[in-house]
Amino acid sequence: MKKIVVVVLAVFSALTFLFSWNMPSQGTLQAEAAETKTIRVWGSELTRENDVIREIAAEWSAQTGVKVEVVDRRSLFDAPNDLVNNAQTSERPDIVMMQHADIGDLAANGFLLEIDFSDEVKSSFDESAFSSFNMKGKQYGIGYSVETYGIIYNTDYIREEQLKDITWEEYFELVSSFDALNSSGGAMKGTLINAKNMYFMYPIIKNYGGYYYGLDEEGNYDPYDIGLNNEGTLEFVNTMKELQAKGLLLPGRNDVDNDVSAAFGNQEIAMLINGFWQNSFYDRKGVNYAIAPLPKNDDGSISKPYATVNGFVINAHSNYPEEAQSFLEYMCSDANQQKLIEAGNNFEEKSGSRFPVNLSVRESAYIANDPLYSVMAEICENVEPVPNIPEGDIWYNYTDKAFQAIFYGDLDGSPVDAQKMLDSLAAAILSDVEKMNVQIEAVDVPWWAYLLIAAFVVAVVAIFVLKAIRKRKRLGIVAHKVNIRLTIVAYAALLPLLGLIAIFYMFPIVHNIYLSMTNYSSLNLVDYVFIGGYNYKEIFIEGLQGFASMFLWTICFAVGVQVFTFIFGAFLGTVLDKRKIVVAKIYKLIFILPWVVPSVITLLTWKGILATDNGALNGLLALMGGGNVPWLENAWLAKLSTLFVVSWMGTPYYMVLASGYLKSIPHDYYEAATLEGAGRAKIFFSITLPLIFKAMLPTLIMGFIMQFNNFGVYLLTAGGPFGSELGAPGATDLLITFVYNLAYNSKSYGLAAAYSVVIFVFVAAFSITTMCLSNKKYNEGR
Amino acid sequence: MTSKNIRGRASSVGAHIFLALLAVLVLIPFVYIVLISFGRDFLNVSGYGDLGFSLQYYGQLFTETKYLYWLGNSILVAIATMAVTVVVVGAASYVFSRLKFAGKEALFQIILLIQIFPLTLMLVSLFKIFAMFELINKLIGLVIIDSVIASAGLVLVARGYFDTIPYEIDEAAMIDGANRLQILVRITFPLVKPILCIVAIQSFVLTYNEYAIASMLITSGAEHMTVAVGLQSLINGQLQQNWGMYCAGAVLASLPILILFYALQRYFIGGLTDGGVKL
Repeated sequence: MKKIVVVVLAVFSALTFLFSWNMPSQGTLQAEAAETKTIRVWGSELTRENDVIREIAAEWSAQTGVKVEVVDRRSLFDAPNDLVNNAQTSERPDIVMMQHADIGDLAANGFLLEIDFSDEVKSSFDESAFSSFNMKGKQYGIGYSVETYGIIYNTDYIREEQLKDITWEEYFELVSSFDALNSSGGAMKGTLINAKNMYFMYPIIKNYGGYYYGLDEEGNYDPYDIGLNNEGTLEFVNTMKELQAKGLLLPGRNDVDNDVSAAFGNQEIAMLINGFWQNSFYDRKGVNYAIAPLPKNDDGSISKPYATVNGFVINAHSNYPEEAQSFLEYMCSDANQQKLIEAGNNFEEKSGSRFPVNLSVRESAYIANDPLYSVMAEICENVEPVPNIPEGDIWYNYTDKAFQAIFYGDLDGSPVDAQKMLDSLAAAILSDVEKMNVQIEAVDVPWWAYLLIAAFVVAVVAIFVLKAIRKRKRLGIVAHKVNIRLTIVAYAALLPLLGLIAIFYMFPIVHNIYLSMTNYSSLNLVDYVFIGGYNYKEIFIEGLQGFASMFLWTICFAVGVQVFTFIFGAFLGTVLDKRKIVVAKIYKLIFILPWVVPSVITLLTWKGILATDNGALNGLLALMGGGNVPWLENAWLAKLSTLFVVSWMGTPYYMVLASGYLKSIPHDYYEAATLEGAGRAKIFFSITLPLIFKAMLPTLIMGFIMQFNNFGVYLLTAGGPFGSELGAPGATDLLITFVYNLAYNSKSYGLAAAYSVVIFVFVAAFSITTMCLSNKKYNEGR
Repeated sequence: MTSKNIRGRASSVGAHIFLALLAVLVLIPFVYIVLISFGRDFLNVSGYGDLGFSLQYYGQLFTETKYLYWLGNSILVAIATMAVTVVVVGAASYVFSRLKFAGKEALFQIILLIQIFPLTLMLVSLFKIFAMFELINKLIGLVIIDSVIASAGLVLVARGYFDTIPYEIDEAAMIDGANRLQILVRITFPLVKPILCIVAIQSFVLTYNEYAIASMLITSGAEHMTVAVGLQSLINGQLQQNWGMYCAGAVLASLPILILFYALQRYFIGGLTDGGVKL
């Protein structure tokens, strides 16, 4: 026993040492900050680029004496959220690199500093550097690189002149009439189009007169003017349907842009609409390719691709706003932009990650002498940055599903009326816009509300105490064993656990309940107010569509997974228990894999295995003469597949648990049963299972709750397959994934909090009932 | 007699066939992950198809990312969480299982019920607490929150196991003059070793795979991220979804758990005989 104590002590001291060693910068940094000014820059996920920022910062620091700390980030996507969280903490960043489309919420909530750039900076950048970071006439940042797309074509099959100055109509003729054999003798088509993805389709939609958000007189986006259901968009749909009839749209309803790139890399198509994101893949595949600007609109005007601009903003809560702005301008000098862009593109490797908005960099040899980049420079003269207003990203939630229904039909394969679908698409977007902008009146909390809450708390405590006293009386002498000394000892021993739970579980829960009664949302991240039961009214008045069926499915899912994993896990444990130890060890080592390998990767692998086209399972079936089974695309099959995959992941845990519990089942039980002539199955179901079940009941309920709140399903099916009704739950949507999406689509986090409270009440009621029933049954059984 | 032997052997062969088939079903996805990590993507999960065998992804992992930092951070946090969780869960389960005290069942049910609230939906509130205690960007903050989550969940698991150990053993020892601490260390502890090992593994796995909170709390740079967050950044980065690197990272990241499992396995195979008690 001493040995263990020594080991435990050693581990603890080692950990203390490691933690103090791992985080030395914290203390020293703060100490330094007191002496000299330090500004913090959140860079990008590209270390090389951040290293250049550090280099530039070192020069600047030498001149100004202000220190700069550059932080490597995971991705630019997290920047807005993390900025909101950290804007006013001691870890606050001063300069943040982010995408222009993300500034809407931040600017509306006062997280971004309005910046006044010098004329010198203004004249050295393309106009898109400023327009993309401009909202309602205010300048919140400056662009640094732009990402957009054109026509990528295989130079062995398409000549540059063929794409020069053609219109969309001529382009579609070109891709339709194209017919060739690739180097390995396979057929090569003109192109494949992912018509579901509005990001790439937007210039074509605009060519026919459709649009996302219109502009008001001052040139600002008007989110109430939605042009996705006008005749223009319908014409786009009809054009695409003609191409689909010629086999030029992606074949499967769940296919994505990567499938298009893969087809290009494998020389199955000669052209595609894309950017520089997959260049290294084409290189590896040995494809000779080039890029051309998008075809012109049919009226001869230039067709502008959607674009995303990466750039820098300044935290409005920065301690040193002037220094931050001065460093930002320093970074914006032509020479420094050149260094940054070259590092961002991995120097001579030209990875295609960053395309400059600085004019002098665009004209530099690095860009102008490169055949790909020089064309991109031309494309970038005319781009349309995606809308940066807070309502800007609503389309992500709907366009995919709407166009999927239009081009690939409803779930049962029946065609969907395009105009109707477009109308409901526009209506769904408009409804979200309205929800985001609704002004809810603040409610003053009357004094008696506090009294009511206090009375409620007192009542709950009183009920508990009364119940305890009654129970004591009923049990008589036995209960008197509950003595005060033991109670104190018990609570003292539980103190660490209870204390931590109180702080880190109870506080968030209480705070969450409070948030559910506020208008906390993307437009009210800071100044949210108490609005009483408004969110709950929302839920019960309009949010309950499809709630019942989804609730039912969630329960079936959670119960199904629990029952299967438990029985099968226990069964496996029993079977392995009878094998030789070495054999059992090897099997266990294999069987625990689904438990220990990160579920993200296993879920995505299963998604690949179950894919309808090119999936491994369907490939196997084809070998045996079977047809293509839509495992994840048919509503019922998708449900079954989800159940199977999640059970597959959950079983090992119960297997390991069960093999632990098996040891505690007395052998005489089995001996007695065998003597009475019970078969193995009988023994398993009437002795092993019930005994383990009894001991594992709390675990099983816990597991049920975890399955109820399972977010992982999302990676497998994304809640789908979806029907043609926009906003309705998909076949495998669980309560939690659905409400999470619903509330986050309209970005009303208060509503999301209210939903989590409602779900809590449902699950708690369900769990308590189950617990009471099983307790009762168990007690009766005794 | 012979017929029974034959039946026994037949069922044993049947069991082996069954287990082998199952092993294949379990292994296929993992073999596949390993293959992708070496560039062989037969199923086109990555969308790029098969690129031919190469060690490139493993090389990239170490040269282009801070993979070793991620792994180190994760292991550090996971081991610390595991140590805390085992101690806390062990003590709490013992108390819940062996001591009779006022409010026991109510307390136990409350611990169970509050976990219905999905923390994933409460990240905003959670962040406020961490900011208040100045735990942002500190690995110790992750240890704390992971310990809370793991302990709250696993105390339910462990208590059930503690309950299966007959109280008569304790009573017998008490009659022999042992005090509670001696009983705990000499008798209960050896008996519950299997479940404590499971608690250890599960808390390690939970911590190791935890993504949402770790990605919110640690914003101070790539070298402070955990492996779950780091790997996610390889597929959620804005430029490319790097499946090959992701799989290579996942393969290497599952090694510590496999080692841990293997190291602890003998305890739950040894089981009760270690305690020297035959029930």
